[in-house]
Amino acid sequence: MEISLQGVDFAYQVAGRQLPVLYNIDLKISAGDFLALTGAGGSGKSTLAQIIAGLLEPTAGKVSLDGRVLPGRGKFRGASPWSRVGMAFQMPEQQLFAETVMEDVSFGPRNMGLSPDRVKARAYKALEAVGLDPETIGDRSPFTLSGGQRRRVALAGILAMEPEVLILDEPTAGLDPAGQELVLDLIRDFARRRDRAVVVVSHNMAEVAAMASQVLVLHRGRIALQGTPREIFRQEEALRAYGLLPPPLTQLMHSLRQRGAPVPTDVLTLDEARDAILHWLKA
Amino acid sequence: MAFELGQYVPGNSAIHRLDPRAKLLGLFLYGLALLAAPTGGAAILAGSVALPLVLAAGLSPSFIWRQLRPLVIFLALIFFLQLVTTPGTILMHLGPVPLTREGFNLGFLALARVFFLVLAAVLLTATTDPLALADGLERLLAPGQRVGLPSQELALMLTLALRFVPTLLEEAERIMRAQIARGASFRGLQVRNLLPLVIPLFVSAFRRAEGLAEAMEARAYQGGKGRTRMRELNFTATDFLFLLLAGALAAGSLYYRLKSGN
Ligand SMILES: Nc1ncnc2c1ncn2[C@@H]1O[C@H](COP(=O)(O)OP(=O)(O)OP(=O)(O)O)[C@@H](O)[C@H]1O
Ligand SMILES: [Mg+2]
Repeated sequence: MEISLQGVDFAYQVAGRQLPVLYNIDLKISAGDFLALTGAGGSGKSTLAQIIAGLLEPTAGKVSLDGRVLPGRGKFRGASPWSRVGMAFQMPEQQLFAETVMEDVSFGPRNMGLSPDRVKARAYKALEAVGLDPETIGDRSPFTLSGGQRRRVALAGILAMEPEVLILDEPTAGLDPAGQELVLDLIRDFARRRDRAVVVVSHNMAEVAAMASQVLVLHRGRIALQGTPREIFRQEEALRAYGLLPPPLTQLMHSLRQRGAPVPTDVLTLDEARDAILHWLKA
Repeated sequence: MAFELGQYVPGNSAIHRLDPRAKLLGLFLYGLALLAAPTGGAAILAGSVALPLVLAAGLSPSFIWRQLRPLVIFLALIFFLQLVTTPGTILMHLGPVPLTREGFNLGFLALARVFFLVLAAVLLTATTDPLALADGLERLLAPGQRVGLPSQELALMLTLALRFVPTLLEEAERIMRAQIARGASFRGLQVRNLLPLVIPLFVSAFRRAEGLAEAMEARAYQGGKGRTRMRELNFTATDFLFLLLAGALAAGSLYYRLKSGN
């Protein structure tokens, strides 16, 4: 499926006034894409993510699903075309509400009108996908779990809806390294299928570099840069101007180059960097 | 969705600059004038003095409308109840219920009173920084301390409530959207439907309250006694003039009521 935004502007209503946040955003997300949304704090990433998910309606411009312009999700009741788009908010563990983990994870599928059997099957599958054992943890209250476990339960609640497009707002923020790795693996697993698309909001450039196929940099509500991770990280100056830093590896390569080493600056992985440096040292 | 009753609209109009105590007392006197007004016409006459103030404060009609909209049903109910429960000269029938001239008059009066009172309250909250408002209230209640009224605690509670209402509303909207993303519907008003909103909201409110209490203790807050303040209120000639006018309005209305003899 395909989500496209055309000329989207957005403003929050605050105290009867308009607070413009996004200006003239054009973008398209198709099956197979992995888009990273990045930008300094307050640049509008979360807002844009919610517009892509149909949770906020643009003040101007169009949002379409598979070429059909749609009103926001709030306008539908029960199953809607938007059910195919899943979104996990920043700190999704704050939305847990049910008495048991199982019930919370089942909330989405149940709202989609699936039969109780299928709801249960999906909840099991989703909990397993996030590395939690449904048997031992399913009956516990979500409020007795650790922060990292709660995050996973919340993500399972989205995965259980089996969306085709998954939008995640800073999914690894505030987790310990193991928790971060787990969530990243989960996202990679999800993205493996060609008929799916992922949008991740992240500040962490190393994370972005390792996963995304496209990067979009927001600066004060406008698209400032757009391209593959390699194309983006090459532009160190520009990134700094937008309040971001390239990932550490890229910074290393930039420094080496400034000191006269003929190494490429657009490396993404540790292996690439090592090869490039060894190549230079041998020469 | 945005629910914004009582929201502060920052600005620098003459109304914004009035001392919060003057505005609070002014509201009280204005309320008195409305209560004293014997007829709907008199209440409208007394009430409309707030209209130029609304304009002077730079509040748009659409803002006022959005603030009052949630109360429309309430206002209609007030009118209707007065209308059907007042005996007197029968004008017409609504089904089996007789509608009287007195009913219309009283309904109209009640409607005008409540409408203008709410309008003035909206004007007060829209033009007064919540913190200044609580400050003003604390000062006005201060004499009550002698008879055991915990005015500082009351003011602190009010300050905190006012400070956190917008935060909680924003949070509520965010949680709502997060649950809508999971297919929740908030259109029906069954309690069951509201749980996915209410529970996370409570959890976060309690967490916030705990954090706030710790932060206050960490900064050695121990009740109001002897605290100095960053913003001193100062009552100017304009404030006196404003109160004088409000007092004149109340007195005029009271006089008219006594003279018209009911
Ligand atoms: N519910 C809201 N009401 C009013 N203004 C808002 C609201 N949410 C966000 N904003 C404002 O919109 C702007 C963009 O916010 P947004 O949350 O989209 O930024 P962000 O890029 O996700 O930031 P962060 O990296 O800190 O999460 C900010 O200036 C913020 O203050
Ligand atoms: Mg954000």
